[in-house]
Amino acid sequence: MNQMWLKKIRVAAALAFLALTTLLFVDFDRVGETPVATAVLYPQFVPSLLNFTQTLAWTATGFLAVLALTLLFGRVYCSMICPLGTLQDIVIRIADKLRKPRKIKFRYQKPHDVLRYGLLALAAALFLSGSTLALSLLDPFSNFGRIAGDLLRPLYVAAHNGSGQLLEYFGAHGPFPLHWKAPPLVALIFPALFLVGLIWLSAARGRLFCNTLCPVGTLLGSISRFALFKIQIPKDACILCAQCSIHCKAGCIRLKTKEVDFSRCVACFNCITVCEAHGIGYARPAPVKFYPAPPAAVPRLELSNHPSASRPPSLSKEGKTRRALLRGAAVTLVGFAGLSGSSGGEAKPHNRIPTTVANRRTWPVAPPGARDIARFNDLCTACHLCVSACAYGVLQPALLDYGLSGLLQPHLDYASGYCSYECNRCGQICPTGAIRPLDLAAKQTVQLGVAHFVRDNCIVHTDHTACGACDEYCPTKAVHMVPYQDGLTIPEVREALCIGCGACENACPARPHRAIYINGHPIHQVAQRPASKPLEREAQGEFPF
Amino acid sequence: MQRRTILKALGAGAWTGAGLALGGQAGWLRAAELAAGVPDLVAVRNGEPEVLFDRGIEALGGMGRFVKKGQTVVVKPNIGWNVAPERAANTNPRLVRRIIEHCLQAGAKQVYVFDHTCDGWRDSYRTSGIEQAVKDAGGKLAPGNSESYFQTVTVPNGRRLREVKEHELILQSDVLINVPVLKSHGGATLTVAMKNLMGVVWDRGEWHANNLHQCIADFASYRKPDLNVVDAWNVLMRHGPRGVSTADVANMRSLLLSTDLVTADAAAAKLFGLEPDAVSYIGIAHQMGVGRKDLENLAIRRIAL
Repeated sequence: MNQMWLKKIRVAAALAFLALTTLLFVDFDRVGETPVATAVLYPQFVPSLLNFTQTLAWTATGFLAVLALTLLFGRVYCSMICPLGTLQDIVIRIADKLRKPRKIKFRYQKPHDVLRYGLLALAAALFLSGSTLALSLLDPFSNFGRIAGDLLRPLYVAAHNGSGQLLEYFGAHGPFPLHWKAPPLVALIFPALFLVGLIWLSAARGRLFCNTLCPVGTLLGSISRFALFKIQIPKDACILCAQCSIHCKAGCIRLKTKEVDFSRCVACFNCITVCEAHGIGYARPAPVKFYPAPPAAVPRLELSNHPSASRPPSLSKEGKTRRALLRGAAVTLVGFAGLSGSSGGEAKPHNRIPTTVANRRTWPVAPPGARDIARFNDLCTACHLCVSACAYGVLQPALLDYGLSGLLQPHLDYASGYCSYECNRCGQICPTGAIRPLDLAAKQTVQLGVAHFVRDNCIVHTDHTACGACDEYCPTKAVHMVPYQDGLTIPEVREALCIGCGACENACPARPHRAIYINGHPIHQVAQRPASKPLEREAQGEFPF
Repeated sequence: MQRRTILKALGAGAWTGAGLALGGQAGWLRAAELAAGVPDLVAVRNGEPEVLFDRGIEALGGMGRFVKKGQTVVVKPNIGWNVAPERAANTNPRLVRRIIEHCLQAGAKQVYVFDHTCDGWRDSYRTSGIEQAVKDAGGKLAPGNSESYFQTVTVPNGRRLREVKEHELILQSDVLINVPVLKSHGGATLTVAMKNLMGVVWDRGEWHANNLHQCIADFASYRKPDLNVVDAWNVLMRHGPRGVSTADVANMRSLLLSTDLVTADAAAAKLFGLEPDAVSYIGIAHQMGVGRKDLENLAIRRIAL
């Protein structure tokens, strides 16, 4: 039985998925609106499942495809499709190279059934009771998104802009710089801690995360018990060389009984490659005599209620990677100079007399397409793909703005940017459907919140000079200027026209408290479309000078 | 290519004074004008954007007066907003294209175009049509939204504005051609030539917070463009500077050219239907000696097509 080619396919697929998913998060401008995005997002289990629960759309059937695949061949998802799985495989491979030769890499590990089924049940129960918190923190796709989008993207942008500056230094024209707006640093602690923990865990214990913490891994594992084809050790051919067990990242091969715990097998096929007897591989399991029903039918009943996720493995030419990283580091450092500038703007107060009236926000502002904050909180797993996609840098991870359950979910941060009138990307790309897609015309009348004007903070009032920055930026003229004193004009808000885009708040130069700010709506409303009366103008005669 | 060849022929004709390519009448008019001195202001109306500029720059003595062989030029249109050309919130791309063509025709080594946009710059460059126009004309579009491109300079005569971060291309280039679009403006009443220069500085919020009109005049005292070309082909009459819809736009089919940006602003105000003194920064700049708003004492060349 020669199934050596299986691993080659697995490695190729895993690297492709990892590379494209990473690119999607770090350089959305280039790949975000291409078929690559669709291909990468379609089979991601948790986003697809959440999306399907609301839309029943065929574009959201990726999780069904994954389930079918699992029923056939086990957790192929975990080693080919899941970017977090492949990331762990890369760590495992590097750790392996650093390990002393002859040291045993892996050995059989006992399953942590209470933990893994407990966490799966917890994530499912919390989700069904209206909180995605556990799912957000455990889902592999969302965790990978936060690593790539929050941690890797700034490095990518810095390297990109740094190389551009180098080119310009040598007289060539570099590519246009990319922009990155810094999220609250506290929000970066979550992906950073997760990444450190993941690296440690995978270097020491292989795919333990996937077999204990990951709800997708656990769910798919419970299904792969009934897979049509399983990896098996032919007991008569086995010479007990132990290579399979030593190379099993999932620690699921038990030599004593010559059995593979297929619920924990991530289908990396390493065992197939190393088996000295060339015996191990996929085979139809022998019928289980005491089991009355045909196994394939059973799991379907369980599926509908369980959210979940899973894990893949992979490898890389890590020597090359390391060298490339070193080479990139210098360029990256150069790029950081440019990066710091693009994220600034809040540091120094603009006005000479500091403003005094604090803004009283009662609700955060949820993205257009969220419909209402409660619904949005129930569906978002904080993968931050919308944050990567937001060209205006207004979508930022929330800390406790939505409450604990909305931790890290995106909200509109008007100190960081504003919601462009001509943009609806976040809804188009959101893989869970937490942000529903809106066509541009509809998006332009969705009222996310309403602007509140604080006269006592306004430059026109405090300094008695002209300003009008808020009016300048307002796309609907909900904010407009009305006569004040001595020929000056001062802003006024027409709430019916306001869509809560925050362009006014972002532009307002008053500090520390702005003179105009958006208070979010818990349930999004519909704003009036601005009317367009024809101009009353006399026909032009001669030049008026 | 063909257009450029024709332009080259036109230019050569004018400069040798033979007037062959231009036709007898135009050549004669031009000669008369040069004898009378170059006008302080040229106003052209009733034409397509390209024609308005061709006639206007000719009346000012041709682009060769401003751009010498081998020089680098910055053309600074208003590309502030992510809206389509017909909304008139940005300078007309057809005008931008024509100006670049004239610069290259005059022998410019490189013609840069940029703006520190208000809306996202990639979107604004694209939607405004200016990205395509620059590409078609053979100019070079440069980014203006990264602080690393800006350098701190002092404003010696500034009353409120002492220091400002200015785009390095302005500092490095030989010629600055300011190409504002005439628009209503919620904060500054009107935006024309002086206000358009806010797009070559980094921190605009500081201006808004520190007497906007004075800052606009202060910066104009520091950096006077070599040529100001005011696009008044489509004019945003209300809801400026961004506008809400095309209903806010009047098709005036006019163009103003002046080497004095205060004069350009004063004339633009009149065209818009306002007295120059209704726009504070025009009065302040005149009083500071930046330029002249007293149109009645200036040589104006009016061309109605």
